[in-house]
Amino acid sequence: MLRNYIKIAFKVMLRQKFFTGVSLFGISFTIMIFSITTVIFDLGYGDNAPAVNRSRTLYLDGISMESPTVPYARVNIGDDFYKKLRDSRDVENICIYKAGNIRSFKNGKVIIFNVSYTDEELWHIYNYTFLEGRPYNKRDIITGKRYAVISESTKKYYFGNGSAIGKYIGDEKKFQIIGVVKNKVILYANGPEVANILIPYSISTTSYASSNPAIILAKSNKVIPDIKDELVRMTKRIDQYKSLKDIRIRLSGGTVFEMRDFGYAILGLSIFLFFIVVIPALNLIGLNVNRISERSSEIGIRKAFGASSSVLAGQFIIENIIITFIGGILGVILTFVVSSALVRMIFYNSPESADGVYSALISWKSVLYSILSALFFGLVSGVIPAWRMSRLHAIKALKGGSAS
Amino acid sequence: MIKLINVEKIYRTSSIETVALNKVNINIQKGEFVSVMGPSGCGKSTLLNIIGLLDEPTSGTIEIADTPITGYADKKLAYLRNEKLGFIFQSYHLISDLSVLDNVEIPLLYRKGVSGSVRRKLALEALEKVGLNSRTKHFPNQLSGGQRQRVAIARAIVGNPEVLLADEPTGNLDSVMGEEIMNIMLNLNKTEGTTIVMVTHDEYMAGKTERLIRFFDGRQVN
Repeated sequence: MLRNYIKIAFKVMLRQKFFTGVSLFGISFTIMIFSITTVIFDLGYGDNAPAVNRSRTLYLDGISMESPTVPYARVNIGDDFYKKLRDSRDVENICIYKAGNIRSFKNGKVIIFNVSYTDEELWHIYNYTFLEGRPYNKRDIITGKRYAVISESTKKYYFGNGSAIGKYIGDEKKFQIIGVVKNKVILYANGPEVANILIPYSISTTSYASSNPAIILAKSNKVIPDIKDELVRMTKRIDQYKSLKDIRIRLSGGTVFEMRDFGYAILGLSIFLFFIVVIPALNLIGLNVNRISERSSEIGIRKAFGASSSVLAGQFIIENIIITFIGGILGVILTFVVSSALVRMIFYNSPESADGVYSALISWKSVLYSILSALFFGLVSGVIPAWRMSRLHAIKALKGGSAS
Repeated sequence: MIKLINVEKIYRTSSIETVALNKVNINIQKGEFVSVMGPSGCGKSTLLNIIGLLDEPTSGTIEIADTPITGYADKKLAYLRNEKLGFIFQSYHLISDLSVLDNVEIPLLYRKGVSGSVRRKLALEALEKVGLNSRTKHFPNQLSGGQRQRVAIARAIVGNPEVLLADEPTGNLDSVMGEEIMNIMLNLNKTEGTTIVMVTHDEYMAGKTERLIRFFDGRQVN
C-alpha cells in the first residue's frame, strides 16, 4: 500500500508542478530558517565542543564590592582565593584565565591574535579536539614554558598546510606551538574558547594577583546559586573587608542563561519559530485543500472499493509527508549553503576568514532539526485537509464534488 | 442475496423535499443478473448507491447476504464494500496517475493480509478474464473507451465479490464495444455465478439479463 501511495505522491507532484514548486520552496525555506535559528540557539546555549559543560558552568568575570565607607572597588581575587573555592563540595573544577592579544607578522603585515592565558584545567573543563600535538600541562606552566596551542584556522592562515608543531608565533618574544585544536563555530564565547591562541597563564605579562576571570564548573547546574553564595561569603571574609559594615558584594558574569536573558530568548525564539512554521503551514493547508479537492474523484473511487475515511486520511498525510520530506532535504541543502555564507559574514574581518576552514552551522543537529521540522510541517499542513477530504461523501466525490 | 424492504430515500433542502425512492421492495437472488431501467431522475442510480452502501436510505432496511445493514460505522461499511461488492461506472472512474495494473489492484490494497505479489497475480488474472493482460503497464489515457471499461470490470472483479453493481456500463460506448462489455458481464454471471445489478437506459442490453426492474418516479413499476 505504501508503495502505491509513494507512486501516487510522485505522480501528483509531477502533475501539479506549480503547486509542487510553491510547496517545496515554502517548505525548504521555512526549514532553513527553522534549522538555522535552532542551531544558532543551540550554539548560544547548548553544550557544544569545546564548551561541553556550559549548562553547569559559572563564568565569573570578576567581583566588586561597595560599602558606605568604600564606594566601589574591584576585588582582588587571585590563585589563593580560587584554591579555597576549589575545596567547596559544589565545585568540580576551576580554570583561571586572562584574555589578551599578541602581535605577529605575516608578509610584512601586522596580525593581532586573540589570546587566552589559562591554567591546565582548561583541558579538563573544555573538550578540545587536538588535530596535532598536545595541550600544555602543569609542569609547562610551573616552568614557564613559552608554549602555544593554536586553532586550526590560525594554523592554516599563518603556516599553511603541513605541521605547525615546533614552529613559532608572535613578534619579539615568540611562542612555540605544541598543539593545534579543531575549529568550532563559536557565536557566543564566554571564556577562553574565543581565543585563536591558548598560552600557559604563568607567562602572562599581567599580574595574576589582580582580579582574574574564571570558569567554574559546578557539580550540577542546581548548585550554581550555592557557589555564588559561597563566593560572596568568601569575599566578605577577605581581611581588608572583614571590618566593613553593610558591605555589598556583586558578582559579574553568571551562567550562559543568566548572561543572555535566557527566559526572554526562549520565549522570543519560540514565538518566532511558531510563526516560522505555522504561517507557511497554514498556507500549505489551503494549497493542500485545493490540491486534494482536484482528486475528489479518486477519493470516491477508493471509497467505493473499500477505503475507509481514516485510511484515506492516512494516505493524504503520507503523501504530504513525502513532499515535505523532499522539502526537508532541499531545506538541509539550503541550510548548508546559507549557513556557510553566514559564517563567512560573521567572521569576515577575522584573520582566518581568508582560508575558509570554518565548519558551517550545518551539523548532524541541524539535519535532525530539519528532518523533524519537515515531518512536523508535513503533519500540521496535511492533517486538516486530509481529514476534511476523507470525510467527503463517496457519491459526491465520484461526481467531482468538494468537501462540505 | 440482496433484499430491500420498504426503502425510502428523501433528499431534503430548506424548501424542497424530493422523494428519490418510495417504499421500494426488491429481492435479488444469488447469481441473478438484474437490470434496472427507467427515465432519468427516476431513482435508478440512488437505488444502486444504496445497494452499494455508498448512500444510506432515509428509512427501510437493506439486507446483504441475510445481514441487515443498519447503523454500520464507516469502517464496517468500507469493509463490506471491499469484500462483497464490486462497482462498474459509466465513466469508468479509473485513476489516471496509475497504470492499468495498479488501478486493478486498488480493491486489494484495502484487504488485509494480501501481499504485493498476490495482489499482482490476482490483478493479472482479472485482466486476463477481460482480455486485457497485454496492457498492464499502459495508463488509462492510452486506452480506448471499451478498454477502459474492461479495466474497470477487472478492478470490480479482482477481489472476487459476490455482487457486481454496474451503473450504465455501456452508456459511453458504441454498440460494438457495448456488446463486448455486456458479453464479459454475462460470462461472469454464467461462469462465476456473480450476482449483477445493472442500471441501464438500453432496452437491448436490458433484454439480455434475466430480470428487468422498471422504475418511475422513485417507484418500482413492474
